Amino acid sequence: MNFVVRVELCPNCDSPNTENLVRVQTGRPIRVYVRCRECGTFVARYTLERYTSDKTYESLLRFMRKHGHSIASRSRAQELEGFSKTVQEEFCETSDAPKSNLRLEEIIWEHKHQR
Amino acid sequence: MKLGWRIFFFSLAAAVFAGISFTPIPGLAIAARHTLAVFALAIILWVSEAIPLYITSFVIAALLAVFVPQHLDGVTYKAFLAPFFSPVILLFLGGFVLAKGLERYNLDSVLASAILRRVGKRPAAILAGFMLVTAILSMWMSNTAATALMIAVALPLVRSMDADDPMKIGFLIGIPFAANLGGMATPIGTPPNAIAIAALRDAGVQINFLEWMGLALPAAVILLALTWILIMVMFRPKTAELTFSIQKVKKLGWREWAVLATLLLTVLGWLSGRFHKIPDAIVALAPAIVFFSLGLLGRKDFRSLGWDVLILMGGGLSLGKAVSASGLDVWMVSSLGMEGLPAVALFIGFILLTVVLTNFISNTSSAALIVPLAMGFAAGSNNLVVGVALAASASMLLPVSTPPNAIAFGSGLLKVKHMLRTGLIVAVIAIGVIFLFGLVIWPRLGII
Repeated sequence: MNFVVRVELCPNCDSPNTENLVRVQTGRPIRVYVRCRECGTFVARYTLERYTSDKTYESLLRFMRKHGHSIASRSRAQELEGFSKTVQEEFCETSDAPKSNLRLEEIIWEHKHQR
Repeated sequence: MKLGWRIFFFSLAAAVFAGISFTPIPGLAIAARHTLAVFALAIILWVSEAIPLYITSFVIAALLAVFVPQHLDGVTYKAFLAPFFSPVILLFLGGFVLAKGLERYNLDSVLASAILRRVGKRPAAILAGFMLVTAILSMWMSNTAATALMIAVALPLVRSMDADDPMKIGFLIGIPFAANLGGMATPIGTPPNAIAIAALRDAGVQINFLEWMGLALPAAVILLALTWILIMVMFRPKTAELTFSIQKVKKLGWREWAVLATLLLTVLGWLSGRFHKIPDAIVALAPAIVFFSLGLLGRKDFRSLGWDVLILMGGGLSLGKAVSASGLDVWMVSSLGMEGLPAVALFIGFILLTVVLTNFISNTSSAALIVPLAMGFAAGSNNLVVGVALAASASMLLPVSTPPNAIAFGSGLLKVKHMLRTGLIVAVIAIGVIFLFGLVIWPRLGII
């Protein structure tokens, strides 16, 4: 397995019960602030490169509108064909994978280092 | 494509290059032989997509720069790098900046909304609205982006229609086809147009923005109208009226107005080139200067411009330059025994070849491969080169023919047979219209 999955825990109370606060601001990348539902502590912040909802095709259309300079028709067709399936498969794979106990910083550092 | 196939095609291209490059061919000068080898390599790599298309352009430029100049008097390696920053590349860059401004400030949606709110409830009018908006957008922005926007607009309507209403398919097919056809109409609509303009310019034939539109816009409008009629006949709607709602757009702020004003002034600058004499490529710098100076677009936007498209075009232009400078075009014409062929036969042959090729490989690659050859055969018949550029946009048959088709197919509501059947007829119509313009209308009007 070439990936690691970590369930985010609150650094204050160790609760896995967290919520995502999605911040959308004109001219800035979308940011997700993760907050503990139990004690309200700040857990983490993510900066989104690309957003995909459960409506994968619509998400892809938005992405393609923004990055529309497409020349390789065959690879784009393959991407479109396999996109929803890939997202769904990766979601199941991620859900079923054993969860790591390492801190996220350590996981990110290790993976960067391995590359 | 799997790594094994990539390696196979790359090795094949390298072997073919080496084979041609180092085997003497009677009557063919060394520089032309090396160019022929690069040409063969480009065909294999662009058709197979074994490596990214734009990287093939770098390979082409590198091989030409290394192998050709030493066998040509007065030509240095710079001659094959210069096309990467030629006027048409700048023109296209300006087009990309305009499109980025439109997308960033949602002005493409504003235009779509403004037109579609007026189309009423009849399926024929809604289809016409979808196709018209898509074509107008694709004249100024990428066909892919225009299709992605319009499919997203059409999807709620399509999903609300009866499962067995054929018009669902009609809407989803009409949008990508309109994008492909709309791209023909302006020099910045699609890369093949710019490749043709650059090739003609190198041969001393200047076609400015307005002149291109004079040549291509009427053909695109006729094709759009015929495609609309065909779709209405093939996918006859089940209901007389459809409920179609589109979101109201919010009021425009100063940024949106600034983008719109820049767009209008730039287009005006392009269309009035014969009066002010400022080259189109220089006018194209205006939106970049305005948008980035006023902070309407930022560094991230700059980085996300279609640099891969520009590099791909640069490779095509570089190859074209080598084909003419080395005399390969003259050799091909004479060795294929086609010198005596009537211009009409050549025109028909090239257009058919382009339409077939463009349905299987990228439009830009098709134009990059065929335009240099057409230039060799053209010799005073420049309509052939313009015809080839338009034919390169007639990629209607398959989902893989062009990204707009792939996007529509990705909805999951279309079958290959729908696209193939309709696309085949549209491609045949396109061939007919290009014949009509290239062989009758353009020469009679003396506009090329």
